[in-house]
Amino acid sequence: MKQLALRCYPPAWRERYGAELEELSAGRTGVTLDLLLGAARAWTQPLGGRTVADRRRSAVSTAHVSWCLAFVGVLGYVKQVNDPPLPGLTTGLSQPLWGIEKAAFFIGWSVLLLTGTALLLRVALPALRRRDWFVLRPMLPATVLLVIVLGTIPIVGHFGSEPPSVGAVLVVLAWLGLGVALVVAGAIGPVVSLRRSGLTMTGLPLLAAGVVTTMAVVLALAAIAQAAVLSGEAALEVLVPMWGAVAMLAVAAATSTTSLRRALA
Amino acid sequence: MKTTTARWADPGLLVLGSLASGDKHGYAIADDIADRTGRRPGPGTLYGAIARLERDGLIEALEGDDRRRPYRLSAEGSRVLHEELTTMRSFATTSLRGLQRRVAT
Repeated sequence: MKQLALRCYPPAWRERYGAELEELSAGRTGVTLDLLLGAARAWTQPLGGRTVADRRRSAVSTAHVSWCLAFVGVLGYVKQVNDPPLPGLTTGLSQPLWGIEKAAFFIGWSVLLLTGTALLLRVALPALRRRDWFVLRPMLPATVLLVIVLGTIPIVGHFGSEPPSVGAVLVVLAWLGLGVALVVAGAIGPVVSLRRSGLTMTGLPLLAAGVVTTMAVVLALAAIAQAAVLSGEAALEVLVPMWGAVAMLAVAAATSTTSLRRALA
Repeated sequence: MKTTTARWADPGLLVLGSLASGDKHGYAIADDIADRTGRRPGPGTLYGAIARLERDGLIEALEGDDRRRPYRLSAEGSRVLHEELTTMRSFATTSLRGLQRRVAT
């Protein structure tokens, strides 16, 4: 667990303090929570004394990880407000906010996938030619999980259409667990590979990080406003997870904005 | 009136206080804080503070082993620590005087 918590730190942080953190954690029990909280703070606390290139690479990496966090937040939020739909979701003030959220989600994912794929190819292709496993290895878990998750969609779909049984529920839960693992591996793996490749960030990835960050901010603000509108009609068991998901969106937007601001300063 | 607020339990202040007596690596800082306060800071807490202090130029990393890199207080760190400790001393002195007056009456 300690090793896993250490892996949750941003790559730049691990490079700078990783060995020291590991040394201090060795032989100590009960430090996992402290390390996890430290890792969460580290994502919002950029390192000092670094070059512009380092700060730019961090901003692009943080935008990617923050968007993945925002994605989990969006899934949780949509589950609460739209499954089943809360009264007033698509009427009144909530209606345009719902539209803004959908647009921001679509634009954010489109920009991330296009730029992310281009960046990954720039990192992965030369590394494959060189057989540079140090760079490629962090991307392997996400690749394997992506194949498994996509490949098992028909099986899960089949179980979903049957009357629920214990077996079906277990299969669906296992698939959802793999989905969560994919999001985590997809958030962290490419960032570590990018860091290890030493690729210099030019204008386009930074512009994409700016767009993704803006979309995360728009999503968070729209969700805050919409959650406030919908709160009047919602039951407590919906309110708590709904605002939890909104908080996740707000943290993702704030983290990405902080990192980008430092890169552009 | 001073605007500085004494940060009694701030890990950053504890790290600065530990480095006041000499250069130390993370492990020695953690030991020193444990000796002085009776509580050993967690590695995540300690290195969060070290990173923040280094970023703000209050401490500096020295050359050393990757796993045990020593840190030292910078001139700005000494100034900030002095200011914080003076505020804390002033607060403690005033509070103790008030308490003694209260006990006496």
